[in-house]
Amino acid sequence: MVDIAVELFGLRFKNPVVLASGPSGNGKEAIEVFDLAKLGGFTTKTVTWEPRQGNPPPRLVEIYGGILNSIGLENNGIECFIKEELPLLKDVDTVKIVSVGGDTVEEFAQMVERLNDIPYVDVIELNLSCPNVENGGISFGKSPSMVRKVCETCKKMSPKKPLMAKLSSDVTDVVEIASEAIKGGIDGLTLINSVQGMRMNIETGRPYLLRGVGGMSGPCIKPIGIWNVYQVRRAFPDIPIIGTGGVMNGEDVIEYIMAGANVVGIGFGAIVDFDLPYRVIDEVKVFLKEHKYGSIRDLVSKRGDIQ
Amino acid sequence: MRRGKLLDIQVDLRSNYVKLKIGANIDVKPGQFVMLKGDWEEPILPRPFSIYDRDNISFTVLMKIRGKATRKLSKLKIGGEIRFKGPLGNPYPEFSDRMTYLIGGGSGYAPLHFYAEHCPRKENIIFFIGVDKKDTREFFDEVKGCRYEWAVEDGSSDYKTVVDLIEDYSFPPDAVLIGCGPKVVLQTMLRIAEMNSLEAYVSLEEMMVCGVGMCKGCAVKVKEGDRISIKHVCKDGPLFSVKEVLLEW
Repeated sequence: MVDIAVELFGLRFKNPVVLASGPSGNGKEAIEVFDLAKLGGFTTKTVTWEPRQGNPPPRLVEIYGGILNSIGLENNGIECFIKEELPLLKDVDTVKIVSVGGDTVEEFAQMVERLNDIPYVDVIELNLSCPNVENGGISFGKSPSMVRKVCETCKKMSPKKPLMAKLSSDVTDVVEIASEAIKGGIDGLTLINSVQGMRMNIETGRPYLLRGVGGMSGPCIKPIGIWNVYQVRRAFPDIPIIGTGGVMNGEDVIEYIMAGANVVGIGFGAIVDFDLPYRVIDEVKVFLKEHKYGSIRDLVSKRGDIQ
Repeated sequence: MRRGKLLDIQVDLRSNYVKLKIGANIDVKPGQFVMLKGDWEEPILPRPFSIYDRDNISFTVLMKIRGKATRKLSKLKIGGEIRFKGPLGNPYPEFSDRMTYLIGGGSGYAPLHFYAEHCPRKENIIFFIGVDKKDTREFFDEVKGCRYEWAVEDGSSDYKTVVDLIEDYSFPPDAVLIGCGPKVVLQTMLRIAEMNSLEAYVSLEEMMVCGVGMCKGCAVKVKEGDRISIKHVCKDGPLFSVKEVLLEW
């Protein structure tokens, strides 16, 4: 028997696979189509202080090896989320990570404060990297000083709950951004968000998406995710990292862990095929067994030095 | 995703339409759809298709060859593997006692065909269907017992477009209109329904990934009283009342 459980922030993840924030929504539908208790964790879709309609269609366009999305953080706002949506996850036996996004530092802080009182929220993730909104999101995530400020302010609001920052790969130096988040008191990092990209419609001469830019996800972004995780792990040997981007099978999870991730998020792959997360978990077990690793810890301790 | 074998494929290269009959027993109701792809890596997304027909061992979808995915699907061999999820979405409501006008164009004919097949009172169904050419019209099976008015762009019938057809028609006041097809057809339907206070519904299509309401990809703007809100084609649709739906953002 191989042990695929992972311990992070004193929380036990049954396995290293979590659903990443975004594609699988806030839980309402996910509890119908997934057996969340079989997963290491579930991250809710980013919630904002006020409700948001999201961006006008088209919101999706296919690209080679994935999709380009421009959803624009459609959600019902934090009050509705806390009253009507989040309670559905209360008794689900998995690590519950709630993702929040804001236009201002104050909005981030207010939301963290609201969530801090809810005992079954295990981890709060600050989305500092959404590519599809005008304010906050990636415009915060590109600024090292802003990242530090958001992390510092939010950590004060939630001294006990683990706080993670989800960072973008669309920055000059992800290590610098990660470093500022850590100086700001962040407990862990999620790397990466969808990657900025564009697709032109050659019939009309315009981009497919109205905002032009969208966020790429799917297997096409996996090498970017791996590289970002690797760089941050090399700089910070101890910071907890959720690696995410383009995971489609067990080997991808192993690759992320070898690059330095503690836990691995799946977004796109899980919503294309709802059975994919369990298949991935089985493949991780088989890999460990075949390669004579007794546990994820064993795999981590035996991975090559990251330098 | 579930798997099924391709039991039969009909490709009409003159009209560029394909019917795929897939061996899987799914409890699908008229109006619902499936998302399917072949056993390949690219294109990576399964595509949503309305059901054209079903029996106890299979279901059939009708599609126009448009892009990479439909082209690849059109080249599948009998016995080839199909992966799919579904049934997804909500069934269309039934109006068997009222005159029901099924208005559509192109592959929008698929769900209307399935709906009529399951309608107990075929004499109450009138189709207004627009196609590009005579070959397409021949490829689309008619449901026995229903009335058909065709509009064919190549000039082989009295009307060239379904828009002209419905603009010229006087719908009785208790008629129900159900539309599926190009936006221009749905917009015309919406206008006619509003002008004549008719009960009407449009079946919408958007790019989607999950098919169950999680990813928020297939957003539709709707009005509920004075309030504007967002619904999703996959979870709340695909059918929307013209009273609520806003076809433009």
